[in-house]
Amino acid sequence: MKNTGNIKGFRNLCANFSVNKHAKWFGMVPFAIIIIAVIVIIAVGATSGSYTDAVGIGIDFEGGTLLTVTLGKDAIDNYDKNVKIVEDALREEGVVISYVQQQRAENIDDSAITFRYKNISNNDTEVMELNKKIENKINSIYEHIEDNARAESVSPTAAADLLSKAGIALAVSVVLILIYIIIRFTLMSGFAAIIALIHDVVIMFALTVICRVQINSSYVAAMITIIAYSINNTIIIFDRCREYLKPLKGQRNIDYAGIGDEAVRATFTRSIYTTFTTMITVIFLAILGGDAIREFCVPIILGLIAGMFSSVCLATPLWAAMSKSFDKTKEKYMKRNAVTYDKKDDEELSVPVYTGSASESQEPKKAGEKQPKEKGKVVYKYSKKNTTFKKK
Amino acid sequence: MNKKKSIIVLSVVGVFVILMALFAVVSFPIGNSVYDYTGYAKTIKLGLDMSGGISVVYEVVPDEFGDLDTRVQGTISSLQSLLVQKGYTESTVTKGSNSNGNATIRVEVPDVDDPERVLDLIGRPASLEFKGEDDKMAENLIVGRDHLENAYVTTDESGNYAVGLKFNDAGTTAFAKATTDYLNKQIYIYIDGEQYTTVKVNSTITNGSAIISNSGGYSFQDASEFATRLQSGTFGVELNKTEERNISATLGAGAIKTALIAGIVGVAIIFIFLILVYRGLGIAADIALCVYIVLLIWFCAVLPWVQLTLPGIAGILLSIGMAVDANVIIFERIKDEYRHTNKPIPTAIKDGFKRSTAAIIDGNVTTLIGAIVLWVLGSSSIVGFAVTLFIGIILSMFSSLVITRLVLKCFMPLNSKSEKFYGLKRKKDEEEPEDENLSNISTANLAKEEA
Repeated sequence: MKNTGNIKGFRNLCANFSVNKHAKWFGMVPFAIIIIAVIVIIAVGATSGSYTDAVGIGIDFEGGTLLTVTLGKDAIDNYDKNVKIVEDALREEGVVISYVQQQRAENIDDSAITFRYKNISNNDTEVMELNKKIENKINSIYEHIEDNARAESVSPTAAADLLSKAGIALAVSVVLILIYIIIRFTLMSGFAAIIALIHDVVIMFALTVICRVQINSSYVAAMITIIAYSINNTIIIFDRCREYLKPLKGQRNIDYAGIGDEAVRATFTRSIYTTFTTMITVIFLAILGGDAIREFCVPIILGLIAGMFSSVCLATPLWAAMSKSFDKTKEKYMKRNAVTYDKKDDEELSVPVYTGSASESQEPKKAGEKQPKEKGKVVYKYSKKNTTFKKK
Repeated sequence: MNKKKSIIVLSVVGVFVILMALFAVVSFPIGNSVYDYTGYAKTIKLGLDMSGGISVVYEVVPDEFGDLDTRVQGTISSLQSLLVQKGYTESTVTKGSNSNGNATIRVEVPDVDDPERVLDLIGRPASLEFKGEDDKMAENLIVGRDHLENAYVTTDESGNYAVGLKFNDAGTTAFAKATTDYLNKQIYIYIDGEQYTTVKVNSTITNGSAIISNSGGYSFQDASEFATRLQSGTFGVELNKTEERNISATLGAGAIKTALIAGIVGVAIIFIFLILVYRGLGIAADIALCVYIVLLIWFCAVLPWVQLTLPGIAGILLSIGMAVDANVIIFERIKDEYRHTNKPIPTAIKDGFKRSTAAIIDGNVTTLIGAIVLWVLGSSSIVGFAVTLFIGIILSMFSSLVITRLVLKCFMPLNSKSEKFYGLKRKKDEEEPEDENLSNISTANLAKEEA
């Protein structure tokens, strides 16, 4: 690797970067995304009148209409041309086509092209009227073949319980993952990781709405991958935190924010490389694929970025803030119950005590204040005699 | 490990990868037999979005039993679960209605060309009756659609394949009566009014579940066919096939090719990237990744439930990224170890592995928990996806922790001194941030103290 000036500058920036210092700003990003998503839902919902449309529930869950246009040999020989003709006719009626399929029958005269589209409303008579109109319209286009268009309503292809089952599965996995992390790491690591995970779920959903992707059963699966990937990222950073904490076990006033920053920096190369290697194939899929594939890949790419963001910029400050307030609460509790207590460090305790709901913005502000301004780089050092985490 | 041994091990790994890759794509006739070998990569089942399949439409014959809607729904879920059992997790079963005003059930099975195959899978929806006498007109003891809940392949006490039966409440009562009345006698099973087989009653069964076993044991194929025939007799409605067509991929014809090209290009870039960044270590990672990819493709081909759809393929591409991730974690550790200590290269590599194992295992186990839960609790298409994810994670751990380590071990006797080859550097005495890797500036102090 060559060291060009730019890289050098970037490296220095990274080396001194503290996620905890900027956690306040990081915390705002997801809220901004969620607000945009809500605006999109309201805007689309208000204009179209259907809020399921706004959320983009796909044909897999909603059902719709299957229009079979029987064209015989023409359906196979001039497939593209015929698809375009019918698609244009359908668009004029204002329906959204989910997908087009070619149907090859044993008897070549029965070969057809089918179009699946979402129903415009939940009103059955309205849908039937439109379907009748579409049937007539297509029939008039292909006058030479008699009665070639047939619209039939279809129920959702995905089992009705797919979403609820996926939801239950997600809830169960969250609990199991929480237990695992608490066993292997600390209580607060578990909660921080789970909050980051919930963040990912919400953000993925918001991105879906903003990108106007239809939620189909396949999409549910893709979301799960992103979430899995993000939790993996979080664990890698927490592993460093765990390692740095090992010699500090039982100490008071541990600088969690400092440890968190250290862990983020130590794993930063890896975070960048991994995001690159996971994303590169999906990016090519998006570049080379057609519209349908691209529509599917773009939220994945955004989701990967969101996943990395939550692991690096949210989970760690959250963990630091929560661990700190947890220690404080514990100490306070111990103090109340103790008859004699070492008062040496009491002045340190005069800093505000954070309750369990300590927001991430409070903690970093404090860390920022403490920061010696002229020194950009903070170096933490273990001293062998007294293994507390001190600032130099 | 000496030089000779490591060359042998490396060659074995290389030959394994090349052979696996070759068998994945090459097809040839097998000498002296009628069978052809088909490259296993070509046998991977694909979803409706990638490859299309068969669409069969059944018309529901109206009857006078009432509550048709519920029974149609029941039939749809039976059909769906039957298809999932057979490994077609991506098939769809949907309800519709036709111009006669009758309800229809549309079954779409991906990656199948021959309509006959669909019938093999879901059976021929038919009436199922158990009778006490060898006579078409005899009284029915059990009626499939009223009494039987499920039929499945199981094993009897001696471990042979058998067919299991599960009755509903009404069926439990009826079957208890039948097995009391016909103890040690024959019961005749009729499908669509034709005698299908006879079964001897060995004991009175009152708990509503029974198994049918053969003295010599059924072959799996026979048991499976028998169970399917029985199960298709449990459908609550009478079905009439009205349409049967081959359907094309919903994503269009080029979907597969696009995914393949994107995968190849992406993986090639990853390989080059690893070599550029980690040099010798990167070569080891590339070899491990090759093993990972051929094994993943092989598992996808041989395991049922795996039906690749676009998300499935995206999942695989992501899991390749995750496999790379494990290697990156290890190599960053090795670099750390080497930079801040005066360990020789082999020790630095060994310690790098040791210190990154916990992180890799913890990270993967959490993902694994998610995959297993989805596998157990998810429905149809989610199950297929969970299986793909599960295989991907297990193989990724195997490839990074076992294969990469093995290959690096083999590199040692061949070259254990060249910093240049492994892309490793010692830290200079003075702190020079520009010479340091961006990840390690402050860990320097920590690691130094620990050493």
